[in-house]
Amino acid sequence: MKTSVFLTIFVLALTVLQASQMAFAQQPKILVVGITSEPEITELNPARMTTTYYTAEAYPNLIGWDSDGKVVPDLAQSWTVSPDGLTYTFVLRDGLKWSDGEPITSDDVAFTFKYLTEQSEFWYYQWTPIQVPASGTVTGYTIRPGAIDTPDAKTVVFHLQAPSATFFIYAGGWSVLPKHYYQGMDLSTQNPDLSTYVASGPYIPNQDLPGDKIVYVANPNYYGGAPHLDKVIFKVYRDSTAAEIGLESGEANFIPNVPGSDAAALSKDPSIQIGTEQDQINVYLTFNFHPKLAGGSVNPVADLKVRKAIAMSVDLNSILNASLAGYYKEANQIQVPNMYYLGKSVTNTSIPNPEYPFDPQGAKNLLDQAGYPADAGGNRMTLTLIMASGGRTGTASSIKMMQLIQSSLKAVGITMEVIILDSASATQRIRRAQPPKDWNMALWGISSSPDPDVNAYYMVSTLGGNGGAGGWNVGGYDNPFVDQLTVLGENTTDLDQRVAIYQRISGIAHDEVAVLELYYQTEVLAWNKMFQGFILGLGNPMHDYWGALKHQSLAQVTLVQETTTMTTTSAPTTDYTSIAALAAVLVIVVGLLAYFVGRRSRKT
Amino acid sequence: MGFATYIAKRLVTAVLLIFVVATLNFVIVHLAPGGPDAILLNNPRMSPEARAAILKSFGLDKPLYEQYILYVGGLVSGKWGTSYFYLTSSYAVIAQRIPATLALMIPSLLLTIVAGIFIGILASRKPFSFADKFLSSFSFFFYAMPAFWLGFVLLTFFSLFLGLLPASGMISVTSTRFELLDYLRHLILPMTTLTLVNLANFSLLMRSSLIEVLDQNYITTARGKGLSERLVFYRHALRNALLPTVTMVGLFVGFILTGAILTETVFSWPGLGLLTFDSIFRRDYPIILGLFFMFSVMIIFSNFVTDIIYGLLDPRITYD
Repeated sequence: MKTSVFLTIFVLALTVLQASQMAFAQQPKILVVGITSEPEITELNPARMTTTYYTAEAYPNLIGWDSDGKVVPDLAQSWTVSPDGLTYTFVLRDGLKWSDGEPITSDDVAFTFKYLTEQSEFWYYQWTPIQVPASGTVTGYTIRPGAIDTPDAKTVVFHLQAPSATFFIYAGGWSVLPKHYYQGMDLSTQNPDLSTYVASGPYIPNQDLPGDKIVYVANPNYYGGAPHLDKVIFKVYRDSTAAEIGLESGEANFIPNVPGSDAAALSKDPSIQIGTEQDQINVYLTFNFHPKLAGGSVNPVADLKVRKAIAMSVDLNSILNASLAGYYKEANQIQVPNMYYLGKSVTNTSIPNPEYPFDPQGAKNLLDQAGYPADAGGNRMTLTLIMASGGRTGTASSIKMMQLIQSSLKAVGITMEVIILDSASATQRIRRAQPPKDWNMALWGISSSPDPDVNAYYMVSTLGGNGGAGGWNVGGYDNPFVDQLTVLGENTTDLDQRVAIYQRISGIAHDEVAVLELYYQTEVLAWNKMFQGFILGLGNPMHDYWGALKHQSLAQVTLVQETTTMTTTSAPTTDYTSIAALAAVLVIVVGLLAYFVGRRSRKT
Repeated sequence: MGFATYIAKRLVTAVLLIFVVATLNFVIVHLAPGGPDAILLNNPRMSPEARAAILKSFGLDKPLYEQYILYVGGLVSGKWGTSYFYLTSSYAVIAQRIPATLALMIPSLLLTIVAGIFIGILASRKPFSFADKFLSSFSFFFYAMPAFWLGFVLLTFFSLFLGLLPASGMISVTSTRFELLDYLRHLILPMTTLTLVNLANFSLLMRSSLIEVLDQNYITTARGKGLSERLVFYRHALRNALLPTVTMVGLFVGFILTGAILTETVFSWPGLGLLTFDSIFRRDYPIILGLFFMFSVMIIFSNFVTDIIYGLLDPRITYD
């Protein structure tokens, strides 16, 4: 019987621990965001970030985007563009302050542009209209002398040499950094120290517990007024299932990136709210456009007829439904549907949706015409498709989708081998390998925001060193006319002309099946109803998803219940079946142990 | 005399072995397709100057053999290179994660050993009895389970349904300080997972070696001399049967620092296992190589110590 006494003590001890935990429950109001990749300190280094989610919280921009994709003021209260398109003037809000109380001035804005141009290998190119080559900087560029004026502490003026269609959002949509904090800091060899971090968002990074979490504290100097919570913690889970358990057990309060297939289960929990955001991510199959593969064999997908046949063999809508549980928008062109230029949609409405109607017989005819007759076993060709595991295109849903496409292609006589690699290996094979590459198709995706130039430039032009190593146009689609249109699009500021250019590019990409469009991604978010006020779907350049975590949204979030109830919500719905099961297991274990103990004592 | 020579010999072998393993580590890490540049240089519009500057700042512009010489030199001089992601010495990044891994692995290993030996003893008392079969199946049952799966089952049950234990991390999610009670609460689930999964290593070894020993002539002799069963078992049988278990303990000590990658991942335990996992996917060579080097040294060293202890416990082992 000793054993059962021990077990009772054990369970009691757990309860006491739990109770003591609750007694010590934190009074401060804390929002815990459960994320599935570690926010590295490098991502809080504004010059070295690979993603901007975490610095974007800390550093508002000159301009922002609302949920409808309209440009709204952020740090700048107003702006003007001269009629010749060469002078951009931004005027800052009154009384702006950094978290340490120093004023935010036009000098900080001018500093940011020079500093990042010279130091940031990632973002300098967006400001080409005000940049010139320079030796002695990390990037090889600096700001052209006289390109930025600061006539007074609130006004900053940019002087361009030629009109640029993208300058406004690239300049306005970037984080403004504190000069007094970053001056003299070489961000290419050093990360800023979080304990002294100076920023201007509602919550600013304050502490990093490596591998565990990053703690943001409220900034009373935020221009929108002091935020409603004391802290926001970004807690790291390595796996979306672990993050979901974290949310359901009350440990995390908000989780982005919920797999669509899990949303239904989560929504059964009455304390949890599900939301969606239509971000600007376009997921597609890219083709290798070289007539021969690396091994010298013929590459059938370089033939337009074969690409069309592949598109017609796939019943896209039912495949997407089966793999994404309804959380997607079926894609039919390279520009995402919520892409605007100055408020005007760039969608080409003449492209049908679905892009290529499901027609297996038509596909077979096309393959016959292309010179790929079926052999005795019905097989026409064998193709290779590469995809990455992990990342936005490497989820379990994507794998399921590829399997469904695989069997659709089998039905018309195309054998498709799917190769799944870890993301660094996949990047190497798909993007960085020198052409001709050794695959026929790859699952690929792009986040398009903030301008239609992004998709034209990266998906179908050869301007980014493409068709070869490094570019995003990984398959090497090469059409000189599309290249010309893309350059024209970058330099045309007239609203209607520019929109027409992108519609034209989308139309050509459709006609030539430059890519096989799959879907536009929908983000699923889940949060505890104790927290209210999230604004969903805020757009932002370079900050392509998690609109609900943007600073304008977080600044509105409030806690509608007492914090002390946080831990008690960990048992939201009592599951009597499992409690009965546990009791049964305990009884069996205790019984067995007692049996053995009894046997031993009989022996002695 | 023989013993000193033996130790010297073993030391030389160990150092050579570490060198060979370190070289293999370097080769394996660089054989993995897609280097750090695949991740660091992600922007196709990057200027050639910027690209060159980044590669240079991490020494990635040098030919591979030069990188290798620098790497070996660094191992000897204690300079393990700068992490591509943390921008600080990889040694510092690794050292920062060691306490968390020790805080998980030491209690887990101790519990595994004690429980394993205890179950092994119980099972061997009456071989092939119901008790033996039950205990052995119990060990096998958990041994066969993947750690991440068992981890999720325990998580779902104890954190989600019962709400008794925290779901992740080493300290409470809203806390930034280490507190003993808080740590213990977080320790229970990952420790249980590791113990259950590794239990069979010890319990089955203990059982089989005890059964073998109990069949030896000297046990019969001891019984023949009229010693009590208890004395025969604990003094004569158990002591000798512990030998293989000592070896196993030695091997496991080597694994303490390698952490438990899967268990740490499931429970978001901020230790070396997680760091290994992340660094491999990021191709953060200085961290990966630093970790692999440390793991190799730990395992080789613990094998070395085990050999020596083994000799001390078993007088039949000679050193020549």
